[in-house]
Amino acid sequence: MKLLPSIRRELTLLSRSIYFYSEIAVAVICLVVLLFVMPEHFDARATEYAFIDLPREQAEAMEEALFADAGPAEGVTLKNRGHEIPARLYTTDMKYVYVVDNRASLSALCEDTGHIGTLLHEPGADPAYEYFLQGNETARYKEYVTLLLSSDFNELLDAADKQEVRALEENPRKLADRQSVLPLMLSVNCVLMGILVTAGYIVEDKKTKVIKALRVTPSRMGVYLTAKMSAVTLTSLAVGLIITAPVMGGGANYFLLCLIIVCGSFFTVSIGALLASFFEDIGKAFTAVFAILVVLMIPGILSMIAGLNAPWVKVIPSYYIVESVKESLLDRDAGYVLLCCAGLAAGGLILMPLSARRYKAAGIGVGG
Amino acid sequence: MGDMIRVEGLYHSYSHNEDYSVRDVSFSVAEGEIFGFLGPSGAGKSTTQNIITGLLPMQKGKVEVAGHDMRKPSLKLYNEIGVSFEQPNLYAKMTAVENLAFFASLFDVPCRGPMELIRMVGLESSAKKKCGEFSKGMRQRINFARSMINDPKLWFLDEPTSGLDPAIAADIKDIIKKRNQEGVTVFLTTHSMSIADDLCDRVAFIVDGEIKLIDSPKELKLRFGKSFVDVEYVLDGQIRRQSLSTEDEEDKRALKDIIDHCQIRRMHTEEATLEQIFIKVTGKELIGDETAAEHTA
Repeated sequence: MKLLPSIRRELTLLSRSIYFYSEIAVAVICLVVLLFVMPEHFDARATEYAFIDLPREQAEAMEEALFADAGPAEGVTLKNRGHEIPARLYTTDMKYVYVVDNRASLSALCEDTGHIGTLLHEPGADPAYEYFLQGNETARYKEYVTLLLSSDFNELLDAADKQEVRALEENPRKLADRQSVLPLMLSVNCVLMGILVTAGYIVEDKKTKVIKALRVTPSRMGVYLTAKMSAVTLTSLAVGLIITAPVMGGGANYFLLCLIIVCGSFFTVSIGALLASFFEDIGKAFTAVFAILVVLMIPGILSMIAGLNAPWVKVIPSYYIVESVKESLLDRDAGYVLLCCAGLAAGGLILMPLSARRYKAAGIGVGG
Repeated sequence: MGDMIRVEGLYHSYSHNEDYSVRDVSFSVAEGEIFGFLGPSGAGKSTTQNIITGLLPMQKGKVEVAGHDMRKPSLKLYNEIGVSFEQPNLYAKMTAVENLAFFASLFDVPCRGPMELIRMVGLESSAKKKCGEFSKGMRQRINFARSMINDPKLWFLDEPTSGLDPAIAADIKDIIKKRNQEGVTVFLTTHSMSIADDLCDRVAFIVDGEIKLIDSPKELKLRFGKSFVDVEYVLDGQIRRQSLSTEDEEDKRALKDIIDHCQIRRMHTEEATLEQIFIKVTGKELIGDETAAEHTA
């Protein structure tokens, strides 16, 4: 059995290689960023300032009515242009509203902080609103504000209440904001990097001509490539678990996660091996590798953009890696993950023998 | 005894057209023979050896190695042959012992112990050092040792003493001779005529991808050899050196002219070397050969 000694050799080389420790170091840095820099949930609430320009008693009544759902106000002091501005902070699900006591403070705060402000006053029978916008608001936002001002607010509320809302999934499980970065991070760091690392290792072996020495032994090129794949996959698994375990705890399906990392790595290592067969020079190889990496990273990057629906992205194989990682982390659709694993493994099984044949038939690694 | 290597009408073109690097090469190597494949850099030596060892695919011709047809070489062939490359190709991050032990694990036949081979090439004190820390000569010796790991019956050696100091080179030559006496067939690729002269039963001269001549060094010296006078003299204030034949009329006249008109610094006779014969037969000089001297035909 020549595979085991070959794997042992690759692991020995791996343990003495700076690439392995670099990858582990990058994984640790990613973990530190995730745990200590990135909040578990992003606070997407907007900040607004408000001033109710009414006689004191009416203003207090209006303020109480407007923020009845927000709970009691918190007395705060805002600092602006060297002045201290007393304000009452109301925290709702959607925003933080600071209510100040005069128009000058409202205007100064809006001007200096870049947040919008609302001035409520009552010139006639009905209350009137004055908005302090920044000028960079979208047309949609401005239309939304106009609609609110020109319509009967109660009518809008009634219409909203009558709107039928049908949930496609009851209580869908979602990744926390911190966890939602993992599909991109794992697909790039653990799986796609396999292309770069494999191409690097093989081009190095071609440069030092050890491939030539292996070719005059009774060991097949497939054994050499499989041993390389094992070493790269092991690194990927180590990196994946270092990043995932502390962030997800016991919440992920680790069996599926490991499976998608192994199958994804098999696929990407096969691409790396095939690419490396075309280049003798590491610089030229890396140009091609980076071009392919950029394309394969697109699905992961797009997955971070909420609400973006780009069907064409499904043509890129790495889309299925990102989605499978997501499903594994959520411990959700095992069937989908297994199907993707089978597809990636099939891709690897086509590419790997093709690479082995190229190394053998074309006399690659023989030159010089 | 049968042939260990049989090559007939071998052609090879890297560009897959009529621009052949090796052209109509035919020869055979008998079992137990040391066969020297001699030629300058770029003559087609390595291409021929790479085809014979299965590193390059065959295009045209017929090659049989240890009974294996090289059109479809079996992996089993590699249990029977050993190859020592000119450029050391070892895992730099592994020690000498680890390198040899790993390569031994790839063979299906009983292999020699790494330490035994390391001792044989005089590197026992560096056995546990990483090969990346070795000098080129040390790497070359481990490379040479690796080619013996499976106790091959057919041994391909490409410039086995290149970059080695004379004492070590002499040891390597002794090992080759000893292994040959034990029955190992040796295919020696070199541009060093002195090594070929010392070791080979027969030599083939290859130039521009074509074999010009095959014979034993002894026969070649009888057929083509002449005595030479090696003369060093001063002409126009410059020191010059020439080897002139004592049989060739033109050379004799040139020698007389030098004696009459120049200041002689040194002069002695020498027997024709394989290199001089190579130049005479092929019209080419062996660039890079450490034994090469300036010659005038």
